[in-house]
Amino acid sequence: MNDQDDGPLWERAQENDGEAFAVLFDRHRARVYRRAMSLTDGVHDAEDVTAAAFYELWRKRKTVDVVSGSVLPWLLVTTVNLSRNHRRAATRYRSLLQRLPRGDELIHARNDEQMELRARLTTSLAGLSPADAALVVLTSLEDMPVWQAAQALGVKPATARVRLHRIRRRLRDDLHDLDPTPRTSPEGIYS
Amino acid sequence: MSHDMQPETSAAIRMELAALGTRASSLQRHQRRARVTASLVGVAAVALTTSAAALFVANAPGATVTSALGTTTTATHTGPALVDIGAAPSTAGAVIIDVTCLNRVGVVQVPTDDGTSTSGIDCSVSDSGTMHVTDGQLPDGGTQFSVNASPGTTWRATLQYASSVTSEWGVNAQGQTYGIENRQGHPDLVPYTADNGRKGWVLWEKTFGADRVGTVDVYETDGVTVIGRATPPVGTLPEVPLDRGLIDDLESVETAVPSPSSTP
Repeated sequence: MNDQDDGPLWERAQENDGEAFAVLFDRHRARVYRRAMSLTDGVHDAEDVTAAAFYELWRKRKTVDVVSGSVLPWLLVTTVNLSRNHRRAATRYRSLLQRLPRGDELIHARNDEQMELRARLTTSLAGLSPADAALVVLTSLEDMPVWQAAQALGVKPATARVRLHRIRRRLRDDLHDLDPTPRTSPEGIYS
Repeated sequence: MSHDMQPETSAAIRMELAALGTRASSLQRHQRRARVTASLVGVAAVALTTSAAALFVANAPGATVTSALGTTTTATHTGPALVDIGAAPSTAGAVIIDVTCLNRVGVVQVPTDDGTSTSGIDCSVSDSGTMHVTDGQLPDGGTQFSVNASPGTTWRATLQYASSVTSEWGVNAQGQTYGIENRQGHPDLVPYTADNGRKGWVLWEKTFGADRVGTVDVYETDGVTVIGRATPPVGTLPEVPLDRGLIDDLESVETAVPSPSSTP
């Protein structure tokens, strides 16, 4: 899912190197922001979640799981979790987030179809445990192989597959049109 | 969706990240504050001033000394309110606030420093808790000080303008700065008590700036003479265990909306 190896940068970042975090932000910002946009109520919430995801990357840098040389899986899991509980994320970084320069919310106004998709996605995810929600997002929306998603979530691939099978049955009707293309990957969830 | 983040917002977050590991990092300051907050949760008064500054001698280099100016204003309200404290004297640099909880409900918060931080008291654990804040934010151009509170919290606040003077950090022969952390950031050497009980100075970078802290030397202000060793507590980046009830209380805090009749 990521053709750049974060390894050398991540080693620097773990030593509290700010410039390394800035480069990681440049590298992964767009993906994290897009995912946050799909799960939150507006541009400002998505900005908060994106900022908080990278701040969390720093705060938890000693325990972040790097998957296949990339911190993106961890960032995306965190983005899903923060989006599910956006107000709590904002509580931790409240004073920092309040200082972010804000543009005009309207310039990113989404069309009705996008709004409906987002509403249905977030409603469906809200009914799942945090780990299950992250599993769905990573595998079905981020094209991440199951084994990578499992590693990012700290579970065995076999466990992830069993969970996905269970979740798939539950969410198939809700979410199938978010990802209408049948997957042919050996571990794809939608087939 | 092909949207990317707005450039100015993205640039601000990037700048914050790039500042990590430097003295300019608000994120690191914020994290230290959060740790102090967490350590105080459950105590009757969750009163935060300028991070660690309050823990050390008031006349250390870099300390901020506040002196009360003029008259006090006392107000009692339930929920958020704007308190008119008159125009700021020209020498005012801060507002001193004493908050007393009058019922056992919610949280009261006041803006401090330049408004990027707050001090708060959790009234839900004590209906007579008090908080003394010496670095309240000056009213922004007007005369009204905003006390933020949960809707049902009844509180009394006494407010007074104050002059606020922050002394310069000391500089030793090696060019290292020493003193206490303040809103400018941190000096090279900060106060610390050695395991042998002697009070001295440790390198900030090796103590508070490091993730894996072992035993560090405690120096005189010269940064050379070792007077002891100290073993700071491990786990400098803990998961801050915020209590769910406190989070609910914090989220319930509201800010009074300015209007001509909002300060009865």
